[in-house]
Amino acid sequence: MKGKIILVSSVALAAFFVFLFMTLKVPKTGSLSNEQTAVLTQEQVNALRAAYPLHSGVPSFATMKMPSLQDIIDRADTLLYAKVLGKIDPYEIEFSAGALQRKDSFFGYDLEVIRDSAGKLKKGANVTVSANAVIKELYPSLRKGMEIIIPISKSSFKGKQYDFSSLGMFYVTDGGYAISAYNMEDAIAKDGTHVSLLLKTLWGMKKK
Amino acid sequence: MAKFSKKVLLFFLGLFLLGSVTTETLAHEMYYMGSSPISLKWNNIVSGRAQLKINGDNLSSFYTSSPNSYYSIARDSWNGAAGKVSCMQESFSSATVRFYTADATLWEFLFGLIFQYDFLGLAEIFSPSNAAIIDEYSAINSQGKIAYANILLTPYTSSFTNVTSVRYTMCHEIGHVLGLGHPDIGNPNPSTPQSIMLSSFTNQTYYSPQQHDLDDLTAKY
Ligand SMILES: [Zn+2]
Repeated sequence: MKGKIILVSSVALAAFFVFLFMTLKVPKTGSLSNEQTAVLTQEQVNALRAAYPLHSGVPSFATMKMPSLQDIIDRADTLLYAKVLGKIDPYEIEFSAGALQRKDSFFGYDLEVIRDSAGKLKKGANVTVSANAVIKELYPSLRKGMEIIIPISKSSFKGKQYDFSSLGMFYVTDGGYAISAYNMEDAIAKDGTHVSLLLKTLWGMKKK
Repeated sequence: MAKFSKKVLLFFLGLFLLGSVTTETLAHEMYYMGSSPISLKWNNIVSGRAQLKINGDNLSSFYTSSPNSYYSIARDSWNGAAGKVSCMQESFSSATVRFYTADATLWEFLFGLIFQYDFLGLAEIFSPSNAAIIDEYSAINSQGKIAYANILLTPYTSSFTNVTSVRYTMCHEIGHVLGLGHPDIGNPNPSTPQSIMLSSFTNQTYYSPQQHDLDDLTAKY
């Protein structure tokens, strides 16, 4: 009797997952004949949003003029396809110029390079990206193990390796599809593009 | 059944009334703990008016010289607003609100190489015990009081799209110094009224406090 119940429950559970899989129809990397051109439908992107929320915060005290995706690409040294190794411990840098002296806190992440659009960083290399806490609200919180596309630029401050941008940042899903991390129109328009194709497209936008 | 419907109707009526009272009496704050606003007010209030002593000695001529006279227009923009604010010109050493034109290295230090051209201004507010108010926790620790502030403006004046965007930014930052938050983001009930406190400059054509902002001041002070 007990065995029968377990069997029925297992079949029901399996059927439920098959149903779920068919409803979402998120293709996996391996199952694609031409992953370079595959793009998810809006429904599939919407279904992924629960796990990869769209961030739209802006700093409380600053006035900002929203840049375009083109601006971000043009200003970045490179676009990395990288894995998040984890948050770094916040650190401080002292700054002094003219009438203003200050010590600011910085937050950020350690990343492992999967691919570097500019071709300077090797696969498996570790980089640290960080930003001043005054603009923390502009950034989504990244989880360890996440894969992302991220615009970065080499910092000119001692003790700070790379600046990074939340605008033009994309989450890469298990199936290898990119969806925008920040709520900006021209980035959202690229939601659901396969990571290889997106990297190529975005890097191709950069004005040389 | 009829009794049940009546109860449901009363429940929704209650909810509606609660909603209308809430939007009428609460100003948009800069910080919230969950959905509870953390009120921040200027510390020096005389006869119901926040006393802002403003100085612009560290501004570059772009911000101070005629014909645009950005600084003096911004300094006066909140003076007398809703009968709750007095803005006075003050010497640098005695001022409680100091404007600065940041230099390029400071702007990079704050916003990084990728965003340095996107940020137009930044207000930094401090409690009576000299602590920077930068998040909900420091806001609570400040006992809700703002004692002084710095307003930093971009060295990249070509980042401003037009004359209005300079004026909007400077007036907006003084709004933060008064403790006002953004109505359109960072609060539990975001909306986009005509307001000098909207979080980003898009194509606004005004550059002084709007009715929404005066209502927020009245609710706060
Ligand atoms: Zn603001």
